[in-house]
Amino acid sequence: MTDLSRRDFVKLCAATSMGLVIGIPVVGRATNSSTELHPLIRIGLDGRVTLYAQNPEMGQGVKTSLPMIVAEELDIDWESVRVEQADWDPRLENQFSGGSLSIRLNYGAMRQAGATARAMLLAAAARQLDRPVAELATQSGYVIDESRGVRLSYADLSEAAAALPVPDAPELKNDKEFRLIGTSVADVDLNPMTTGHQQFSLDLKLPDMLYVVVKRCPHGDGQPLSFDAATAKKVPGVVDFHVLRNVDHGGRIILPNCPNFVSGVAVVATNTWAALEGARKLEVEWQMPEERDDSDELFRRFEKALDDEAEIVRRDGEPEISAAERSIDVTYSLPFLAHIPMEPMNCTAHVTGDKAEVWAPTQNPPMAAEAVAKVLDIPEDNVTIHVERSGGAFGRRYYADFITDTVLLSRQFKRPVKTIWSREDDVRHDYFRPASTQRIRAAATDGKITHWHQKVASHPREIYLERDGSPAEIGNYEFPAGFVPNLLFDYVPVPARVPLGQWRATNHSSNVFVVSSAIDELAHSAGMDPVEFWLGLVGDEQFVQVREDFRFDASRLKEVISLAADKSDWGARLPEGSARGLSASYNQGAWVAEVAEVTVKDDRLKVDRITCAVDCGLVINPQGAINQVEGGIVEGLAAALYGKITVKDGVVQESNFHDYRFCRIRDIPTIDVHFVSSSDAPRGLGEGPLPPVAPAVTNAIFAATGKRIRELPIRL
Amino acid sequence: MVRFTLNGEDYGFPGDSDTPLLWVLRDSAGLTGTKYGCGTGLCGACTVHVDGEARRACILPVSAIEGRTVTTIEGLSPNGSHPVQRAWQEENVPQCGYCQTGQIMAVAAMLERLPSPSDDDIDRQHTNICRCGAYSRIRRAIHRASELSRGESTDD
Repeated sequence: MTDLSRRDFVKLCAATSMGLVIGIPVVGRATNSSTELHPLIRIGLDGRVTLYAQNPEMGQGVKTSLPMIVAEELDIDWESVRVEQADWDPRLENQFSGGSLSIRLNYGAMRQAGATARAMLLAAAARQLDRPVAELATQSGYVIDESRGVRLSYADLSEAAAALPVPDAPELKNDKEFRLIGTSVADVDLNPMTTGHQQFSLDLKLPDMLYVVVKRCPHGDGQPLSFDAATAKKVPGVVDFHVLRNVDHGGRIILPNCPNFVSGVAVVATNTWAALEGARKLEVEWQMPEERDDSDELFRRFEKALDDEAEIVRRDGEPEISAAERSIDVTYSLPFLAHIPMEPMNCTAHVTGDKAEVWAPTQNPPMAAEAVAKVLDIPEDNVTIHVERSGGAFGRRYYADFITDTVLLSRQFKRPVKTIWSREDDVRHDYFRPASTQRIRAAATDGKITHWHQKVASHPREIYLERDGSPAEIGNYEFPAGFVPNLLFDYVPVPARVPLGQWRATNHSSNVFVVSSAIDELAHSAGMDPVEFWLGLVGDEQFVQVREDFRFDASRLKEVISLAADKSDWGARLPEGSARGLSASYNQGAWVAEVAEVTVKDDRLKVDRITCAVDCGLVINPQGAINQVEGGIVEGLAAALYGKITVKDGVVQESNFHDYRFCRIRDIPTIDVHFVSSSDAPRGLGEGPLPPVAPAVTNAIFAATGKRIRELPIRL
Repeated sequence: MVRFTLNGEDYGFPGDSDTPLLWVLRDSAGLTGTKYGCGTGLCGACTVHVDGEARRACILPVSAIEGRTVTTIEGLSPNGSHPVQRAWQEENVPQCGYCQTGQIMAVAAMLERLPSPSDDDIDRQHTNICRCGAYSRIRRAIHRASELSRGESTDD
């Protein structure tokens, strides 16, 4: 991973009416020269400081936490700062939200940005006061010369500062000097979000705008053959129709990892309701693809594939053991899952000539821009992407399929267009978390796992997206690799056509369930307490070299397990029918252990409490971080209790919150979150707390009832 | 023309009277704080008050509110000062924020009926979906709003 903290910062422009602007130079994008910049900090001559939030906000809090890091090094009061969301800019690096990487990748760069501006302001003050920089200090937006009792505001210095050379390596604060990082700060949009004034993408209204709902082909690979608009036309407000076929617009995949399933008939209207009703009433004859999946049949193929020859992902020692030597030989199954962000997919665009202006709730502005340029055949420089606050995303908004159709329609109708997805379209036309069936054959002796063979059968997303690289849904670095002397991970791809994508925590959402369940099964088969068994497995070495380029800090895993056990009163007696279960993992940058406490009574499950211990390195904004952990836990719980997408004859059967359920407040246990105090650089947090939830709950169910759940969602 | 009182003012909607109140509010009245989440009354993102009661505007044809009084999040208080809004701000409830206006409207109506709800009351009566899972804070904020409404405590 690139070390961003050593990146040089250069000046965007000389002093203008905007004042001092600091940004990041470009590295690694062929379309840009390396000297161009993007503004992150704007100090207006009016004294106003605007910080730009670089990465898309979807509820994970980076619109607040990334600018906090800049403000810390800039040495300015948070209350005086105004935060704005940055548009897509090719000069920015890592301008995407995914993989729990926003803070992890940009922590150094944000610090450098703030420190660079501060150094330039100090240098300007030194000139003006004719004093050495070393004699000056900064505080709350002022440069201070204490010996003379002089204070100069950043605003007054910004013009002179902008004309100075940009320092190569501005001094960063010592972590111990942090005043803002590590304190709880309210979300920058808290007030508008609670008063109804927060603008989401779906709220946009442009002059002369058309409202469009696309009647989507039930299968992404199908095409409309013909349509009958007789009834749809009668809906007041419906004004036009337009056929979209992905084969006419660059094909089903227009960029690596970027599907383009635009096929359908657009119903064009003067308001949203007319478009929705028109689409409902429109009759379309579809050409469906030959190959149409059935998820039940697919699971049978997965199970059968576990006896087929497999691709070896990792092999250590002599992992094969005879049936007699196995402590466990068990198979787990995980379903397809949908994203269902609260704000259904939508986009607004205005294409004029060879220019496109787009307002999108996107997680991935660079991909959005590239896809728009490709589908319209215009230069990327002609594309503007306004990044809108997303009403949830969870990985669904990583792609650009909901953007490409909108720009095509705006070009067709020569007007601003907003496309709106119904909830039904949102559920049925998702890119699902891969389903898989996984088998564990393992042996433990004297409380130690000696052999571990994990064989995964799934339909690989890479085949679907026509992408290079290993299709395996298990990585060669995953736990317990490095901790078991004889280990085999292998993978059988079972090709199918159900669209797959990035779901929160990606494949860890499946693999952690399998791994944490199997470890629990091994602990019980050895007659050992699961906490004791886990601690023995993790061992006493601080570092384990899992792969040549991946040294795993096992002591941090051990610490979260001990902390979760301690905080959950592990071992303390519970009433009849209640029990605790443990799971642990390192994924997406976080060491996480969770203990679930459940009660099973009359075959009904109640999850009473989840205790979560997390080590994600330095926490920037504790209140936001806790919100992320709680959210991840709730999402993990919803998947454990309810989540399942089924496909019949190529068509997704679920459609809305009644048949694709999510937790409501009555489902929510007491959630206790404990962070391990750390001065290590921040890691990831948005995803790590999700995967351990399901196995903690199912392990607790086993402890309470003796019933082992090996298939999700949970059915008692 | 369907006429009703909207946030204290007369409002007339000239379009199709089958149009759900949600789209009248959003597209015609320009009040976009009321959100579309499911279109079938399942999630509560579109919750508004009709004559003081919480209603899901996505399944309520505008014809059904002729002559009645509608309050949206924009009309709940002039500046976010309603006790439920203050509680939501104190507890930093939102993650993405999209469902929160509907949550706030549902809770404001619930507290009118039930000024001091127990946790069981909340489990039974508050059914809005928060896809980000901010439920622990929603529960705390409901109790806090109850305190603020009853004037028991106004400080942190």
